[in-house]
Amino acid sequence: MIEIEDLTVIYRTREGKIRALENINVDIKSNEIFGIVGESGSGKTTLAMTIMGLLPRNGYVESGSIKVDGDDILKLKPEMARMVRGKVISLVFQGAMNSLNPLLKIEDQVAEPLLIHRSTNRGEALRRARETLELMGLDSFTWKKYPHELSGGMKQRAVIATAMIMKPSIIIADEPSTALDVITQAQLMNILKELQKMARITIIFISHDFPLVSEMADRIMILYGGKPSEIGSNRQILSEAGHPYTKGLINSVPMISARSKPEAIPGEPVNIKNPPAGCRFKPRCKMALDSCGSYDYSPKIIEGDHMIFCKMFEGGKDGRST
Amino acid sequence: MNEFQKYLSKRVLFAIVSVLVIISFDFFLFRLMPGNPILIDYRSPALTRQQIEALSKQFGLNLPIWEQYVLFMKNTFEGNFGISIFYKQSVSSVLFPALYNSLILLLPATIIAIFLGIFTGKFAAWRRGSASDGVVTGTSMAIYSIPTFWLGGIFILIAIKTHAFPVSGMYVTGAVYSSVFAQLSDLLDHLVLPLATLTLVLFGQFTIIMRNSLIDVLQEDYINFAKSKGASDRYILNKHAVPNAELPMISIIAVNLGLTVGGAILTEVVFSWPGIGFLIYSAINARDYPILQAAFVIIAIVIVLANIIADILYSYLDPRIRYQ
Repeated sequence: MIEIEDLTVIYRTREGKIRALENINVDIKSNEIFGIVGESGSGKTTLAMTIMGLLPRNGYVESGSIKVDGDDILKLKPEMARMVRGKVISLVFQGAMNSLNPLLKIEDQVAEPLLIHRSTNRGEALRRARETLELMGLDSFTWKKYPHELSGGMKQRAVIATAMIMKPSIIIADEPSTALDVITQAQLMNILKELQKMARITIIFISHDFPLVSEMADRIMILYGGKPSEIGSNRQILSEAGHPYTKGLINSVPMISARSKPEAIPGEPVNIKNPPAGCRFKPRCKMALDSCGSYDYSPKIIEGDHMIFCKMFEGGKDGRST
Repeated sequence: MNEFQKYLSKRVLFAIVSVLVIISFDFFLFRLMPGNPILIDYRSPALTRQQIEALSKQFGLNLPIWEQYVLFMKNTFEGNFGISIFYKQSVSSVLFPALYNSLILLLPATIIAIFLGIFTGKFAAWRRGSASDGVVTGTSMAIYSIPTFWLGGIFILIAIKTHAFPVSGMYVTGAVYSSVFAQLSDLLDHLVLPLATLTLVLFGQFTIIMRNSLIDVLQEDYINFAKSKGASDRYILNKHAVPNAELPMISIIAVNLGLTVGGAILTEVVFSWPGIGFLIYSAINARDYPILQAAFVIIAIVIVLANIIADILYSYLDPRIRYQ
């Protein structure tokens, strides 16, 4: 459904070029929830923005392709790319609290994609906006309200309603629950899951919160310093993790039932402006070898589509992607 | 009384209090200046000591200062600004024609500058970081930092060399007009240079304010979210960015109105425009307390009113502060 091949994204900065994403090869299947986990600077938001075609001015795609149903969306002319945004792929934003324009009524903002894509007239657009809001559990008293009059959870539902209204085939949810309390967060996750089942949508779920992603996602990609560490199904990642970083993430999650204390991964996140040669996790890795400095990110593929990007696993079945 | 009326009456009450405070300051401010109008009268050889004392008594300047203050407040409330010490006629008959002349210059200048400024500010903000942004912002900054009198002086120099426009006053001195249109065209001729000066000075400022305000807004999440809905650049700019960027513009314009009057003083003096700024300038030289007090009361009321209007506009445009 979405095939990302050899994607490299670069930011131009005063200190030179930053390679924010490299060696990204992944297939996202139809109607799955695909989780992307990574700490800040791992490139997860850059990946979301690249798929949306909304990279900041100083960012550009150096190489690679992103094919949606066979068409490379990176090659679309700006006017065509605009037709994809909001209609085929829509976005639920990081910091949804600020995703709504403070000067416009909720229903007008939810109806906006319909009017932008000239799908229908204003009356009909508003009717469908209200319908979608209702579906999201926001009843009529919220429709004519302004964003500041709603709670964080309500605003986030309104944002999801906006993303849903064009019935897109893909929704990218980038840290959708940031700044929400845990209860609201849990409700929101249930809504996303239900929507995904009901409307047959592919959801790309991006978060730094590993336990949250592992609860949500069918398959998970773990990013570190702009490169992949491990890609696999939920089960493969949680119980058959191979990469030391994935294992570190799993061990750092506090468990009520476990007797052992959670273990933090030592060291600082990678400085993406000046990354180490070879494996980017090497400076923090307990099992690092000298040869990790020359690792070229060719994955080890285990049973089907479980991929591990680690020097230690190299030499087995080799291949760039399946 | 609905919420809005409650809000409005509270706002007007605050405005009255601030005008009261300003009027009191107004009274003492000019009396703190060295010299007084009577001393200036002493320079005249035509006046005897007795005449001067009689004058002083007539204007109440021999009374203790607090009595003068009480008298002044009482008169101001009755709408009586007194008699000009210099012009020897009622302050209102000097002040209001001058105010009218000022408005002829100030209103078009401010309106043109606001619209031009919003337009170029939008242009620069949308192309931020590009060469055209650099040119627009650099030019605006240069115009903004040029002293008004210097810019006026340059215009006068060019006008005198080319005989393009009159450089002083509102009308040709002593002219008799065949029709209203002839008078109007003479006025417009005289208006060109001071209007250009004042508009340019304000324009630079408004461009910079609009540009910066818009650049802030363009970094908001809701702008990115609008992009993710598939909106075009023009749509995002006009529907989402500009309405939000205009909010700070409104309050800044209202606050800057005081500076506008200040800028007008310089422009009016340079071009001998018989407005309120020019009047203030000559009244300061003559220590004409009644004129100065009245002029400052009027300016204060204008600024306070402008702020009320800005607040009402704001509460109309921004749902977040509606009826609070």
